[in-house]
Amino acid sequence: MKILVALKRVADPDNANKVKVSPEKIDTTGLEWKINPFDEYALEAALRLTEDGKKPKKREGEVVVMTLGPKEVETTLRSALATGADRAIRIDCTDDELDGRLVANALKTVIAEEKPDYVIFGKQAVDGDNNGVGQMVAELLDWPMATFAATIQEEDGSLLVSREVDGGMCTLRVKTPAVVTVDLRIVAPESVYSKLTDKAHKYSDGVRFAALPAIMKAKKKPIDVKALADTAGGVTIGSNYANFEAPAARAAGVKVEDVAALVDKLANEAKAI
Amino acid sequence: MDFSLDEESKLMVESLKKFLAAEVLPVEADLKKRGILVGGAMTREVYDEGAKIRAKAVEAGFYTAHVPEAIGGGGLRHVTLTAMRETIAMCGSEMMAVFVMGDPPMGPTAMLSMLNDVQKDKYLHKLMSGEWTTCFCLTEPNVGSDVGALELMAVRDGDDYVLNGTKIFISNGLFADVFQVFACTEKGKGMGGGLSLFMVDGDTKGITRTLMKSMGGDDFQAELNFEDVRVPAENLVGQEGYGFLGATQWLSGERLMMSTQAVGLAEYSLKFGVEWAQTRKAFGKPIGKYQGVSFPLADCRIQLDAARALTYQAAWKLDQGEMAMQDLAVAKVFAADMLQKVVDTVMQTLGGIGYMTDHPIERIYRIARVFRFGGGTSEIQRKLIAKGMGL
Ligand SMILES: Cc1cc2nc3c(=O)[nH]c(=O)nc-3n(C[C@H](O)[C@H](O)[C@H](O)COP(=O)(O)OP(=O)(O)OC[C@H]3O[C@@H](n4cnc5c(N)ncnc54)[C@H](O)[C@@H]3O)c2cc1C
Repeated sequence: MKILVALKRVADPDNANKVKVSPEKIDTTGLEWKINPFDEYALEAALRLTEDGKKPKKREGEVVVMTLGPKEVETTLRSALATGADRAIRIDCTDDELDGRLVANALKTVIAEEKPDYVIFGKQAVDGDNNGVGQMVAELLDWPMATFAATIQEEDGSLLVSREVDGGMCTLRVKTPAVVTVDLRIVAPESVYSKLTDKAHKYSDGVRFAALPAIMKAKKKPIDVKALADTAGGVTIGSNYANFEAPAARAAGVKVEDVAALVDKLANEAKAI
Repeated sequence: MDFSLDEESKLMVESLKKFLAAEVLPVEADLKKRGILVGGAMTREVYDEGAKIRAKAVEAGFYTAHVPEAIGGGGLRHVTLTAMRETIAMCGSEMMAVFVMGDPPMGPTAMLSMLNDVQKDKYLHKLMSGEWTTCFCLTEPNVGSDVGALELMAVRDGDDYVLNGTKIFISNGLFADVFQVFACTEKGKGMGGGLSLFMVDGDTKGITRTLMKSMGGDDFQAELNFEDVRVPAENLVGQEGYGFLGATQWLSGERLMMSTQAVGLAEYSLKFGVEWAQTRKAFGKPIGKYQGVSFPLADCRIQLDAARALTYQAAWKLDQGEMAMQDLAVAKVFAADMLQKVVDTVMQTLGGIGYMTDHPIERIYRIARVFRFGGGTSEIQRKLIAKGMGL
């Protein structure tokens, strides 16, 4: 079995206030980079799908991580390799050469070459919040897709994928190969079961951390580099950023005298009630 | 000099942060809520809960990261270890984080490289796997800094040595499965051939352990009394009379640990002061807008950055294969003073709330004091520095 996971590095959301914005561009110098949290969840889900949950654990199949970006993004890939991915692919380019459609086309080429059983994405990157690449890739590959997955259960030749909806769960059975995008709940203890995993098994809540020996071994795991021109299939960047603007600073709040004044403000100023 | 972290070390620190967030801090919060961890005090129950964290830390490789590769550890560089220890000291844990890295006093130390193969089989593996813990028994009622004057005697009798005497202030002494005991094997010789090191099983007949209450309130020090304790001669580490030579190497490691912990703890503490100065208002402004409040906090930043630089510099020198005795001593004295100053300034910034036991700084204020004498007093460090200067 083979699972591909697409990763994007994003500026550390905890330090997002350090981002300097001018109308022409977002200045990324000095920012700390991290794996997009939803992509970390995607990796966790992929690793669980290749394991049996036993101790010592048996693994079946491989997890390949892929990303687009300059040489520095290999740090992000290395971190994924340390966490348990088996190998990595980087499509060489600069960040501002890209938009979602181009990324989807480049990834599609890699996926078509690699022929995985599943491709797992985070539901969106927390920098642009676009929520588009996973869906576009499914379309380009003409593969079935399940989005916002909260649980995944592996079956023979298909995946049973549930997403949370108002008042319950919506469950799809998708034939493989398939594209899945995952939501936060996918890293809960009972969210992902491979065919090998005993249904009684509970994972630790959240994503796993890399053990030190694995970090040392990650150095030796291969990172394959491809050129953007060789993977983009002739597609070029289609969107241009016209202007950047930092969000307006929050206006100071007011203190109200009593409940009547609060109700009045909520009704007449905020029009919330 | 370059003490920046390479990619791999950064990953290790990141991974450690995740480990603390997932496996340590929630456990500690839960133990507090259930009334098991109170005032940061170690009890048997806390220790047993800690053993579960230790097992996970062993599996993740954190526990033995500092142990030389030759005896099965991670063999990480001192700069990386320093970043990891700093991360732990900064995480806000009162107790449970001590189970993550197998540093002294509980875990396997580099010093155990001196064990012979039989001793390694008997002790090292159990300490590396976290099944057992140890403690370091040097200080005595009549002997602290002046190590050469140790009074606990070990007298050869047939196939055994017989130990008589008392050790005090021994961290983890209440819980350790095996003790590393320094004893006098020949009176009058001191460090030059009179001090030996023994591995002593904690359950050997004749040993009594008594809790010593401290200002830090961690209930983690013990008095250990040895009365005709028979230790098999095969438990003598290295050559008789020269056990302390190995220990000196270990003590320099501890000095680095102490300054690293001081830096991390100060960083954690300073945050409380800065946040309070930004949000607490008096006379119509946040108090941080008064230089009377902001300048002392700025001084803390200066001292803290300097202490960190000295600490990493010492770590880096160790990585270059230097003994760095002078640098370690400089860093330790400076960091210990710095911590007390920072914590005091933060408490002053907080005003009354910082004095209340509900606020973390109250406890940190008490434990900050120990850095100026634990692991070698500031005076002894200065003695060493002066000696290095040819004085
Ligand atoms: C919390 C805690 C944990 C500890 N854990 C351990 C442990 O696990 N194992 C262990 O063996 N020990 C442990 N100790 C003991 C610690 O290492 C000693 O307290 C320390 O070495 C100092 O020894 P002392 O207290 O006997 O002071 P002394 O050596 O008696 O010193 C008293 C004072 O005299 C000063 N002084 C001494 N000689 C000189 C000199 N030549 N010039 C100038 N001033 C001098 C000292 O600096 C100090 O101010 C611990 C102590 C504490 C407080």
